[in-house]
Amino acid sequence: MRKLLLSLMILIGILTAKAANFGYLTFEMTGGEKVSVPTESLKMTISGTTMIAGTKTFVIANLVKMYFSTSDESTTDVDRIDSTTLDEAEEIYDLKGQRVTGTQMRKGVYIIGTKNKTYKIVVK
Amino acid sequence: MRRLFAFIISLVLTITAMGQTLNVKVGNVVYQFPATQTGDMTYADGTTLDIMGKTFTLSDVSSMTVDDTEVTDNLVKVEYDGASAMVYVAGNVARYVTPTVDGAHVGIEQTNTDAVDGDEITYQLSGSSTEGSFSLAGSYKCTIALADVTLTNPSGAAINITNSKRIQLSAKKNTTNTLTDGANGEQKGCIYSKGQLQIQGNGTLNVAGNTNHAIKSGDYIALKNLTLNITKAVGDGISCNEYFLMESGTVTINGVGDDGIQCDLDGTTSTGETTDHDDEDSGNLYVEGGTLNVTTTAAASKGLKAAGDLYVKDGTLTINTSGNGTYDSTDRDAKGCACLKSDANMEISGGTLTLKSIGSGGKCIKADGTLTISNGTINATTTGSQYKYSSSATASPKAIKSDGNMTITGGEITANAKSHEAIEAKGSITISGGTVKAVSTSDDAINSAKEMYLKGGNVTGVSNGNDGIDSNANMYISGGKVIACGARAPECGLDAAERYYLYITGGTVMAIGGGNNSVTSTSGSQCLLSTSSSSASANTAVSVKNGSSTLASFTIPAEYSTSSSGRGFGPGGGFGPGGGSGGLSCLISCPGLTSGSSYTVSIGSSSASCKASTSYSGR
Repeated sequence: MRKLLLSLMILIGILTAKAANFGYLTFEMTGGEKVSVPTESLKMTISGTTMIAGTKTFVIANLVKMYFSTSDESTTDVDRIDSTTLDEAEEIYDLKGQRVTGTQMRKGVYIIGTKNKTYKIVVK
Repeated sequence: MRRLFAFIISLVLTITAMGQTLNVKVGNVVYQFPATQTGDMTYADGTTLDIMGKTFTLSDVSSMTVDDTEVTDNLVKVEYDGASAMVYVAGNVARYVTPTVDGAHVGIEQTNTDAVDGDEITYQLSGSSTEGSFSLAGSYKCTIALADVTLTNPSGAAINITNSKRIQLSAKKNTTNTLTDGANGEQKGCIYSKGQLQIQGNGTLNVAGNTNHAIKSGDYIALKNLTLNITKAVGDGISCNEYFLMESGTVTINGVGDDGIQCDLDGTTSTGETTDHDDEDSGNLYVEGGTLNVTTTAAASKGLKAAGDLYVKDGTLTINTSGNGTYDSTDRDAKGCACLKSDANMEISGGTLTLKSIGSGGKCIKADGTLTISNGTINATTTGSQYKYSSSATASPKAIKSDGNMTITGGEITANAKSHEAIEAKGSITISGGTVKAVSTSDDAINSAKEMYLKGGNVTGVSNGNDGIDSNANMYISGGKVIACGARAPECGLDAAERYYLYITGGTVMAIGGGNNSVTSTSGSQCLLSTSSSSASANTAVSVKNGSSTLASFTIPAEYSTSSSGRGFGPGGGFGPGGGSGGLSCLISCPGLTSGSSYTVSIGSSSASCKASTSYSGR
């Protein structure tokens, strides 16, 4: 019985390693930032130059790669940016994926892509 | 402890079921990448995404989802649903497989030239469509698995394979699959394969060919296990090149417009049979097991036709042809149907064969070369009349015929012919074993154009219109048991041609007819008894006794009928002496006879004393 139990425990270990439950799909951007999205019932749609993955929106041109990960490897936070950043913005998108200009931004969440970095900001 | 045990078992089962899959949908194609295999999936220029070597143009991607779908490596699933189809491609073969989907017409371009992860790609077809098809192009062998698919393509082949490599077409166990093509098309078959086709599986496959053949391969076809029903073909049921091999399974072929199964040479020169059929191009047809039922109705059609040799080693074969003879203007010859036809040699070494040909000129077995029978049970019946195109172009309905030599060493053979020979060889006939019974209503029961050697076995020839056993050259009887019953004069029980001779040096022989051939004395001749009878008839017992000791006994076959009148003659010691009308000549030879001694010959209830001699002066 003990030997059988030990065998089963080893089998669990092997199967766990083999199954490797990947809870996240991690996207890496050109600036090195990473954003992890939960894989449970994850759906990704592409619209023009953006891709919406779950609750996240990405500018495809800024994506380098994506990979399955077992943990959240996100490195980007909500930042406070100043007008200089807005002036350097090359693309601004709302969460609907619609492109807007700096002057069209109202209250809400936006994705700002500059030459060097992508920001997620909240306009209050 | 028990609870812990149960919990652990549950955990093991749960873990086995878990795992994520990235589904990339492009139109009606979904590429399924297991999360454990994807590694880094790279974007480029904001326009493409590479996953496991497969590059996607992002503008073509409808969606990407992650779920817990189980993905089987090397598997491509095609699911038909009316006017559309979906294709699911396992991630590990995605870079080698490019599907195109147009309604329910699915095309695959396969680009690998070697095994993928140690195995070949399998395409699994399921669902149904009345306007769908599956096409496959490629350069490496693969498998097409039919899993309850019903497919009709009104505008072409249901399955069209231009991949010239070996294709396994498998009907999955407990599934029924039906494929139908369209009429008036250009396809060569409802199922067409440019390359070698191995048809197998434990399921059922139904095929209907409305333009040409039901199944056509440009190379060999090997078949085993499955239940294959060919319900219709404008051409042949199965047509292939190189060779055809049936190892097992149940094959039924009906409703064909030409032959049941035809095999041709691919090239111009035959390799003959090769070891394991490697690189074989022989035009040979092999039946090694299973159950094969073939019915053809077309004029001059063949149940099984081999451009090379035809081999039956085992299996249960039931073949019926009903078409009449016809004139072949290409070969400038009259031709009839045949259940088994080989353009070269034929060899039967096992199996149970029930063959019937009822049209004019129809034959059961026709070998253009030699015919060798060593085992098996054969029942061959022809009932048609002669087909006559002209006085020089005729096809005669013979049960078993070889243009070359015929050799029988074993087996149980029954041959019946209505209007021509039951068994005929244009070469020699040698019988050394087995049981052979030939019955002809109006011609010789057994005839050889060259020498006939009866060395063993049980040989019975009954003709009610001609000779029982006839050789157009010398006849040598040296063993076995021979019963030859011919019609009344001028026909014979045993007959050799004019200027040729009958030699009896052994065996147990009884010949009854209007006469019998003279027997020439030679070194080792066995003694003979001759008598005549006016009462010999079917089922009559005949015996030879030396005192109370029976040396030989026979029963006149039940098929024998002596309704025609003729001359009777009975030299020395017989009853019903020569010159009488309606008498039959009876010639007997068996071991234990001494020249000059008298023996009692009984035919039915009549007995007579006959003196043995080493020669006989007959017809």
